[in-house]
Amino acid sequence: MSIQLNNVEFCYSKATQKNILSIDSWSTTVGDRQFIYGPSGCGKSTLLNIIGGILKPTTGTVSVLGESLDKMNSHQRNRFRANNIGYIFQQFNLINYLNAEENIQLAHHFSSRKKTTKVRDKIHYLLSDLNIKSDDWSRPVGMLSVGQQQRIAIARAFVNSPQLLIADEPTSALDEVSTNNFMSQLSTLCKEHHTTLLFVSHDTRLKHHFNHVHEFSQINSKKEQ
Amino acid sequence: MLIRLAIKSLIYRKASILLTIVTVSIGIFILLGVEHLRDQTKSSFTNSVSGVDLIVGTRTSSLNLLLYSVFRIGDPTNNISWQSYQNLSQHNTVDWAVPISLGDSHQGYRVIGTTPSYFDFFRHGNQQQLHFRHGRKFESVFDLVLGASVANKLGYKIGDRVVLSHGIGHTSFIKHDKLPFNVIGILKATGTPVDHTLHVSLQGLEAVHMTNPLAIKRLAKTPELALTQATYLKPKSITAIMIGLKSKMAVFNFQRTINTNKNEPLSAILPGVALSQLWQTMSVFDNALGLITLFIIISSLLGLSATLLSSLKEREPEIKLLRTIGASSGFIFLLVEFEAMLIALLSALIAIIGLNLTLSVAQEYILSNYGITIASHFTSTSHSQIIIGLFLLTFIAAIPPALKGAKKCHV
Ligand SMILES: Nc1ncnc2c1ncn2[C@@H]1O[C@H](COP(=O)(O)OP(=O)(O)OP(=O)(O)O)[C@@H](O)[C@H]1O
Ligand SMILES: [Mg+2]
Repeated sequence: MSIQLNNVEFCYSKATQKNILSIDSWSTTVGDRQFIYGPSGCGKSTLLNIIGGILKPTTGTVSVLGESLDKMNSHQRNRFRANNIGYIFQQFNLINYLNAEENIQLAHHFSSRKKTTKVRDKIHYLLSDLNIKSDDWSRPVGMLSVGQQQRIAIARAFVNSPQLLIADEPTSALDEVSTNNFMSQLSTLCKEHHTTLLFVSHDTRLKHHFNHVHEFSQINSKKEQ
Repeated sequence: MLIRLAIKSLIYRKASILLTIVTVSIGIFILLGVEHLRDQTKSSFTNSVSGVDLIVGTRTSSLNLLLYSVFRIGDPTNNISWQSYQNLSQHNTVDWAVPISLGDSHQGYRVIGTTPSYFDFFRHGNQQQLHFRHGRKFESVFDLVLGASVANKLGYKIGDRVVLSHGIGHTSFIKHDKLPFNVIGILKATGTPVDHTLHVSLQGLEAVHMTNPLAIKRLAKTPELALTQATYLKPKSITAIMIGLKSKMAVFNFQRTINTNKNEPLSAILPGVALSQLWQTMSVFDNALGLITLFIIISSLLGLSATLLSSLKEREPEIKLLRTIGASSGFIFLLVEFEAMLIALLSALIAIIGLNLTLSVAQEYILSNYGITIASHFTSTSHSQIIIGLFLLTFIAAIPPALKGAKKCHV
């Protein structure tokens, strides 16, 4: 069980043929907390989108949790992502006009997990665990604070008990105290659910929360000119 | 989940959505309203007379015969003899025959001379009989029964005395003022030319056309003269005859018999057929109207499409997020389509409710001013085809934004 990339190249526009990524070979064993750091604009989000199956590499093979993403059709990739991967972004993590409960239910809806009433209990448990007051569960999330929204995003990411959690600079909008809170809650939940954390940031101060640290330039052989 | 998402998303963007709903519901309102009016006008028109199997007149075009006998438009070129009426009414396939005589008027309204049985046999609309709002049918020579509009416009009531004019139109100088008629009955509104007609007995018409001043003087002294006592006022000629047959199967045979009649040049028409032929001649306007309303609805649906398309830009993060947590591109397509359908549904509801309210208010006005009966309750079942077509058009109009939304994210 691992993430393995071979001969992966990626460019956004076929016209310019300007490669953003060029990875000969990179693999990491799943388990524990992985940290990738690198400067802004170097292609970190792009790499995460390839691992999550949102973007397809121009060439190369991508295997995540023992499944070859490049051999799946788009429907299978949607399913795989919904069932096995949780996401937390820097912003736009939630749908503004839905409340916390509905946002989390939505993630559950797209997975192929059984739709039972137990989901509500799980959602409530996660929300309380992340210190969201029950008054705020049914308010549109657009009316909540950024910190609250990021914590609801954690709950959303864990509702399907994913094997892999992809976090793309989720703390960059938070102050130091909130960041530390956020990191410790995230770590605890990852341990509880046996979830591998793949965390990306340009902020190297976060290093100490992780047990594996990768520098992006070591992964990507495509150098900035 | 799709439904809840669509509803909440529409509510979230209510400002621009509300505007779209108003536009689309105006389009639907016009479409359904015009369609309803077309429908009702047509049925009001083609049901001006029903339950009459044949109308017989002098030999003329069927359109001409129809126009003067049913719509009281134009002039009968020739009359037919009383003898022909009697021959026809005694024919063994004839159930009933009602003579009518035209040619006089009152303040621009046509006068029709007939027998009391006219009120029993004449039918309009869906086999509806004539009903009296006040009074009864005539029994005396100088009794007069008014159509609803005539009574309304001229303000006549039972017991009023009315003088007929010779000829047609306001400018008629010869007035039959020595022998006034007595209003004995007022009919309920029918939405047909009957509303604009004054009905008198054939004998009454015969009386006012007498030239002998002595005879007129004598008649003026007996204004209550009963029809049964006035056999000497038997008419010599009439304008047309309405005929009901014992068996509808015989109608074509009997029509041929009349049309080939050797004694007198007669022609017989089937009023239902002639009415729909006449309506056909006006179908150009009818179709043009339909085309205009179609364009109105298409342009309002294009507006809907444009609104959805431009909203995709601000919804990009939302769509990306949905895709990331596992929504397929088909889901996004359906989401946008469903939103369009919801808008169409809401608009259709608003339009139907608005139309019902408008119709119930305008019904009286339209009947009294245009003589068209409009059903006030607009049943959406009778227009279900239009509604289905509308949703189909909405679906098509929403395809561009839905496709664009579905393609928002690579994958
Ligand atoms: N949708 C896109 N279309 C075209 N080019 C893009 C697109 N998204 C990103 N890029 C380009 O790809 C490069 C890498 O972008 P990416 O978002 O992966 O960087 P990043 O390392 O995540 O940066 P940051 O730390 O600021 O988030 C950038 O130069 C960016 O201009
Ligand atoms: Mg990024």
